Amino acid sequence: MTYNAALLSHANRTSDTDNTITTHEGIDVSAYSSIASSEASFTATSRAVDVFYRFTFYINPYQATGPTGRNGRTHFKLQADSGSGYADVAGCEANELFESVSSEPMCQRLMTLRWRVAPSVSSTSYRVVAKSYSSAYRGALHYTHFWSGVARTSGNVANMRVYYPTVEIYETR
Amino acid sequence: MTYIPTPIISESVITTTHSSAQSVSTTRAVISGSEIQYTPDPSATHVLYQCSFQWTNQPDANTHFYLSLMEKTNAGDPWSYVTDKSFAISFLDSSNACSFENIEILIPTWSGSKYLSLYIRSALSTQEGRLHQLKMDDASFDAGTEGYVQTSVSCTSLRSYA
Repeated sequence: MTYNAALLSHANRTSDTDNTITTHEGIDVSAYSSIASSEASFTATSRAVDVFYRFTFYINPYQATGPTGRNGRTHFKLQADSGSGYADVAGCEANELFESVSSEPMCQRLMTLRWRVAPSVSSTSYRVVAKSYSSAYRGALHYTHFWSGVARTSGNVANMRVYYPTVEIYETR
Repeated sequence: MTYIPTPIISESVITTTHSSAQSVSTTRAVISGSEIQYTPDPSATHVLYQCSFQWTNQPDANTHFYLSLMEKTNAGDPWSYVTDKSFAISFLDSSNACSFENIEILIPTWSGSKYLSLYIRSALSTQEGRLHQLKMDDASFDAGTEGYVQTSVSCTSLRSYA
């Protein structure tokens, strides 16, 4: 018996796994930028009680010049657009901070952002925007920097391993 | 591999908005927003408990939390540990650590109504932390004025094909 909470058969559900990723995605340090693979549209039915947005991805420290990056400070925000432009969704935020006092570089984790949003029977687009605190605390997504003892900088994905991010939106009734 | 979607029979959701942080100390406490009362569908074989919340390391540099799924039958009953559903979150080499957790615990179904929640405590008084409030937002970093993150808890009745 196998359950996968990310693949439950909700009656009204949309999902997408971005299998086109071929490089690290550094999180912007100067402004909030959309994570492309987090974008999805959803139309709730009149029976919807709740709508959940869910985004699963891998996050590392960004390593510009060598396997030295070991700190990350990232602020994530969910934004919604019902036709008048994207705006922040109250309460749907998250922090992922990691800092190491040792001199060793580090990887971080696979994480799932899961937020409840108000049901809307008109098509609504959702996305996650993110910003890193500074270049010294920059995050990078999707690729691990280390694999089988080999280290790579952000941007060098040779022999590295990728986690394709998955976005899901579903309603509960 | 053949994938058979897991049928959802029923689902209950509670979302809690916060206007203050919850401290995590060596005294165990229910995570605010993690409690839910749920009656599984009679045809269910399992219930999926899910809880999403934000934590940060303040006031201590190191963080070591113990968490447990708890249960009780009536509102006034004491909480009991659900067998073999305890785990930890630990960052012990860090000056700043925060994360958003989406806890998913699959348990066998039961008959009638039951309350579920998550207990949390720190291992030591030097490894305490905080829940629900951000450490970094649009306006500031670690100023104590950062915004709050909703907590969502849900129970889902599932039926296994096996």
